Amino acid sequence: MNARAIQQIDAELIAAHERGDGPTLAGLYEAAAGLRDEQGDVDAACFFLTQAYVFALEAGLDRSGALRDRLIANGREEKLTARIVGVRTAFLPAE
Amino acid sequence: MNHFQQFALDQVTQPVEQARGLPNEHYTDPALHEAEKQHVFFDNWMALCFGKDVPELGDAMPFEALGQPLFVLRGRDGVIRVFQNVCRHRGMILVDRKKRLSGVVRCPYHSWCYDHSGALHTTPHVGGPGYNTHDAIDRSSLGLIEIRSHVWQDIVFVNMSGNAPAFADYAASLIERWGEFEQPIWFGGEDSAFELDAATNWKLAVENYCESYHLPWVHPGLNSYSRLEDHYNIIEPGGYSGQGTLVYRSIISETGEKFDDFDGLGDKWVTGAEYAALYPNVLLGVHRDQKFAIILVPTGMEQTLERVAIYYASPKMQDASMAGMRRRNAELWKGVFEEDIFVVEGMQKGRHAMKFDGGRFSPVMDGPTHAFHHWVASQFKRAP
Repeated sequence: MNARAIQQIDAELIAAHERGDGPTLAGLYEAAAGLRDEQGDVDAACFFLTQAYVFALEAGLDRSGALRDRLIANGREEKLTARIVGVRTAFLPAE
Repeated sequence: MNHFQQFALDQVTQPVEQARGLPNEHYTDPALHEAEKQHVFFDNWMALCFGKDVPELGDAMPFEALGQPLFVLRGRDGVIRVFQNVCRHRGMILVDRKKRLSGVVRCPYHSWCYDHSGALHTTPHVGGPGYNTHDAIDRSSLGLIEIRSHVWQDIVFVNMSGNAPAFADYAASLIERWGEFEQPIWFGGEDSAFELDAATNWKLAVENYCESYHLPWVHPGLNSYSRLEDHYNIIEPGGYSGQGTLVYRSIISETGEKFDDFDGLGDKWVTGAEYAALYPNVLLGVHRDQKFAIILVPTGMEQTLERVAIYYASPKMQDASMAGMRRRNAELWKGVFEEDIFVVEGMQKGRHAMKFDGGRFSPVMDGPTHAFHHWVASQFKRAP
């Protein structure tokens, strides 16, 4: 494991969290996932991929699609379907 | 409802010549205030905010609607939607301040994410670290609770219960009355919006707005060109009421500039203007060259925030070159509305007088106000 790289990412993550800098957080978490992937630690990698995915979604980054695909490939996320996109809720009577 | 309350409401719904006003308790009793939330506001179409509050795609803004946490979102598809402002996971507030969303709505607690239609987009770590799905979590049934809404004249209305008629039917009569004004409107910008806070129950602001009877006494400045006899009552039982004037005069600057007029208006509007309360809580004014709306936000039983926004007939009126005219116009209206504050606050204090019986109405001058009392009483009487 590249301990120095992980320490560096941790420090940058804390700073980015403090700034509320979503795009940077997405990138850093994706980098952290990559380091875990290199170790063959799929669970840890998917944890960080999830973090990256959420911040990419919040920031509206195109990258979110690729992150989601990686999570799906690992059996950690659902495909986006019309079933989800088309959801409607309780207070809307038919008119 | 007990027999005494029923009797009091029956007196309100008598013809104006015999009727009494709503009893004091409707202005001072917390229990009736709670009942009013449901019967008067949630079962009808209440005005929540303005479209101009969320002008750009992705703009989100939280609102408290009589204690109900909501947020309004102008989605990336351009549609304004109103949602209950809580995550379907643990009930956390989602939007805590006005913000522009680049992407999804992310709960700040466990980061469940919703798209702009309210659909639940992802549920991070819900099945354990790095596992974002679980058989027990059906995302299709866990979208944000959307509140039924409708935007008319840049006012966002909500029907919390979901049981009211479609808005187009609910407000059909007023929409038809002002059909000539069904055309694009242009918000004047920051200099054309202001707020007034009054220590009064919201109903008193409606009651005062509806009638012209008070004009010569409370607005003597207006009386110099807009006499009492130049006004007429507007009464649409069950829907709205207010007053009209026959002598509206457009503002003209020192250099002869005027605001653009709306297109194709009939002769009535050359010197006419109308002011109506669309029940329960929005006060509207239409003129040949401008419209305004006042959303009454009941921030307490005896406290009301009046949010005022002025709109014009063409985008040119939004130009910086018109700023002076817009400011002057807004200051004029603000001055008029401020003159009403002592009245609505005074009536609120008066509603604590234990022997006040709801008062009587002038059969000639108070018809619009009585119509509003009648409507409120009817909302209680029809309640189960």
